Amino acid sequence: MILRRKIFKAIRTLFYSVFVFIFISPIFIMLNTSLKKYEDITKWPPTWFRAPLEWVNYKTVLIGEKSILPALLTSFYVSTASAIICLLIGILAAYAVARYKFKLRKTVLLIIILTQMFSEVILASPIYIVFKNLGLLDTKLALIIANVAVCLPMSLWLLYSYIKDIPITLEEAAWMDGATRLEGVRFILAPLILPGLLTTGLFAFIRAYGDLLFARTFILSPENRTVAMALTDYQSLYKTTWETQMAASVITMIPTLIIFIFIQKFLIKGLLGDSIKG
Amino acid sequence: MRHSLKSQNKVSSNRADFKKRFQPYILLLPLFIVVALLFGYPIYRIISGSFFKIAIINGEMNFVGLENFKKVFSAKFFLPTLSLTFRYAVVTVFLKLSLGFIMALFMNSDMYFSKFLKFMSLLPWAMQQVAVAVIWKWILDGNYGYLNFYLQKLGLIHENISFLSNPGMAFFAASFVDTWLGLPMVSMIFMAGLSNINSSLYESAKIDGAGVISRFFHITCPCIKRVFLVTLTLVGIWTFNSFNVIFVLTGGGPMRSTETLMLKIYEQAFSKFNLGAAYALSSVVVIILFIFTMLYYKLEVEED
Repeated sequence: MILRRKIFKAIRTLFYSVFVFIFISPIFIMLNTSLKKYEDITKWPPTWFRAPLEWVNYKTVLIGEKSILPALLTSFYVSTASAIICLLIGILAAYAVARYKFKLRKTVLLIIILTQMFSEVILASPIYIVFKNLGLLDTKLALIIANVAVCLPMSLWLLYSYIKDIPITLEEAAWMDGATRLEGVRFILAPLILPGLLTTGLFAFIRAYGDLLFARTFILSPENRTVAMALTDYQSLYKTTWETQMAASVITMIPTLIIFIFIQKFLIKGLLGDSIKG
Repeated sequence: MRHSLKSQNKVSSNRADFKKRFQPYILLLPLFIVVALLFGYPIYRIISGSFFKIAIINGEMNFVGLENFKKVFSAKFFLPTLSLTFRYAVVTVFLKLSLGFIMALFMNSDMYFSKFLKFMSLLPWAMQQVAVAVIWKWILDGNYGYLNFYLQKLGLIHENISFLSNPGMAFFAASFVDTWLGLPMVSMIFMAGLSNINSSLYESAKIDGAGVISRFFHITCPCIKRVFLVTLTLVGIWTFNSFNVIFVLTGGGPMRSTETLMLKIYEQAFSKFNLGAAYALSSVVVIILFIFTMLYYKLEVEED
């Protein structure tokens, strides 16, 4: 019986491993292509990681004429700021909706859900007018604000469901012992929703980091360009130099991967909403 | 003395009451500001703007009534674009949900290296969306693409297919890449739903002699139904709004075979500078998504 179970477990593992291998094979292809010479890219059959590996492609992309580094820094700055602002606004609002009973509670929930349906494409041109009137065009602040707008509804919804899942009795017990509401949040709630908090931050970061449209619409000057714009540039400038484009793509993956690894311990827990089960 | 103490108590309790009643609104203030400035005002601009002819140079607005809508509805592109958008959404949502559910079933089951495999399944989510489109453009390339090579090696096709320059193929290619990017998220949502099913249900069904298939249909399916419906509406909204991947992968082509409403709005607003038409189309999208969203609201909030 136990043996049979182990065999099934092994078969499942094998099956899913093969699937995952195929599923993430585009990433291998990206790495492989980024380490090739231009002449070797169009050779059939494609070779896999054959020496000599062309690390020079990365050098070109990082410190060459069309370096992606400034854009990477801008994107990182904008996305981090957007994510943090999202979390701050989100946690205040989510706490209010999850922990207080008040007249407009359902209306607020409806507003949060309704805002979720508006995409960048629809919002870009009217927000452009807002920023034009505020004199914010072509600034990083404009990108941060616009990204907060599209990231906030989802962040708020996630935070709301995380807080809702923690029984209020835990906080009430602390209040009985003389703790204030703020202390209740600080010492009881915050540690419990930490995985959810970090996961939500990651959500907002990835959404903002992936933005192409706001950057294309609001940004003109080269020093405010984001990664998304830099990548589309490679496309028009080096129409066929896939190797530098792939190297640039690999580099754009690094910031998110670092955050992934950094919060790995909390990530799956947060995604599963398992904060309280530990 | 006693009297004054009592009234003082009353005053302070009144004040506490007042504070308590307004506390949630104070906490919600930043949200209200963001919503008013970045959703309320823009939506007002879209809806009111759809009744005006707007000159892009000086922003001069002339009231034209329903003219924009009439033009958009009677334009040759309107119905094909609308139907394309729906077909795209249906195909892509179907792929995302079915594959995502299968992935979730695996990830939720007992496996070796389970944590590692889950982490790997999340990787596409970590990628910059433009980068994703660029990579797939290379994989799907008609001359040197990896997909063509391996499909031929497996004997599934005999000559190169131009995935991105054949209209029928490009539609499925865009849908497929969109699915690839969305799968990590969808499978995670489903996995969360599956892991919430009480395992004692399975245990007692097993004791009663229910097999794997019967357990799946009588426990898993009913328990996951709500999560499934919520995910369906949410993924529907996301997919309807898909822009980045299609824009970079095909740019709406070839022969407009991947030009969904989102790409059309972008074209009208930013390359034809026809804001009236862009706003009229946006209003159409807003109405369609509003219906989806109310379904979602019914499922998520009303049942609370």
